Amino acid sequence: MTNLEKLQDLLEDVLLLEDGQFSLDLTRDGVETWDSMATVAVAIGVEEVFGHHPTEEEAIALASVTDIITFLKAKGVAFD
Amino acid sequence: MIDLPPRIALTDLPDLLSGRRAVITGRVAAAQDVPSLAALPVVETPAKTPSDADLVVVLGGGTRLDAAKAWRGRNRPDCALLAIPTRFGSGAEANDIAVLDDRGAKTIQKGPEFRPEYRAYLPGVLQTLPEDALLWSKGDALTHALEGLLSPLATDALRADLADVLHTMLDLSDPRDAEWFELSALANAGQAQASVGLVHGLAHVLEAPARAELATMGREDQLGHARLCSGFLAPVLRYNFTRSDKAADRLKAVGIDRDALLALANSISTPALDLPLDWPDLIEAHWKSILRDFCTRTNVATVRPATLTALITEVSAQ
Repeated sequence: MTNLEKLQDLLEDVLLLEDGQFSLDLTRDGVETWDSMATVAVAIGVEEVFGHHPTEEEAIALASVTDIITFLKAKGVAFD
Repeated sequence: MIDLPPRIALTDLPDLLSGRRAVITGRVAAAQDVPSLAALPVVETPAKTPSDADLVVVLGGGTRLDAAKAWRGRNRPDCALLAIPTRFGSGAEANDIAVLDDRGAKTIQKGPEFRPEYRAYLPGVLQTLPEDALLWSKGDALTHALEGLLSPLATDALRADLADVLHTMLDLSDPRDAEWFELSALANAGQAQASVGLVHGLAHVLEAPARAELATMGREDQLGHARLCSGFLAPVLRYNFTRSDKAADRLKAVGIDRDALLALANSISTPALDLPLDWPDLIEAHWKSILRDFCTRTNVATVRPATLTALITEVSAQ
């Protein structure tokens, strides 16, 4: 499984996405279930799956799939 | 520091009530030996409080206290509230949350208007509670302290405070010790500053369907929030340990002995789940709602559709 697939799997689960709803363009504003609780769950999941713990400020700033990928790339996680 | 409403000693009640237009409601029989409370006019429900009253004394378990908090918050913010729990565990006398049962669905409201101004305790009430009710109270209080401590939203300072509470709980074997009231209040007010987790997610979602099933056997009174939390405490603790290192790391960081905690949780969960219900089947049937529950989503380890099997394994092993 690639890292992108792992991320897709995680976000589909914690954001309770419908089949086919995931895309790289997904943002917090565009997903009804991406509320403050989901922000917490995304942060916990990112640490569980990728081993990198976002700080509180970083977690709040993760407002799109692109933001999460950028955060993980900066930690050395490959997405190519 | 965990902030609690002022605790009024029974000997100070006459001073508090002096000059007030106070009424009393709820399980008033529990206060019959306290003259200053026994002398107050009784109202059947908080909603029947006269408009000129300026203090409502409410006695009862968490459900009754929360209902009074909600009524006061919504209708009479000018009227002070003195909450006196008749069992420990919910800690409802100490926080700004009102959990309400809306036709079987739990709704959670939070705000300063829901927090009682005062709290007091009647130590004698614990002497007459049955053993199983005391065990579920203990499980409820432990769950609040533990899930608050493990919450991803807890600060280090709050974790340290809740760790003190948990250490004392682990050392306090007598469930009739009135100290449980204070520990339960601290645990509840502490978790209210962070969040709870999967134990509460399960308890909130499963209470109505489980009670409905028990009702067909005339046994619905045997299950409530405290017993549900007690039942799922150990299985969820093991689930959290297997899903990530986070729970174990957070307990270790504050010096909580994981094995001692698990042993205590097991001693409570096993009898709590001992009901003629198919727990795995109930969890599976309501899994989508459990996943969506506010509390589940702030569990220390992620709860995902595919982790149902892992959870059911732990519940079945209990």
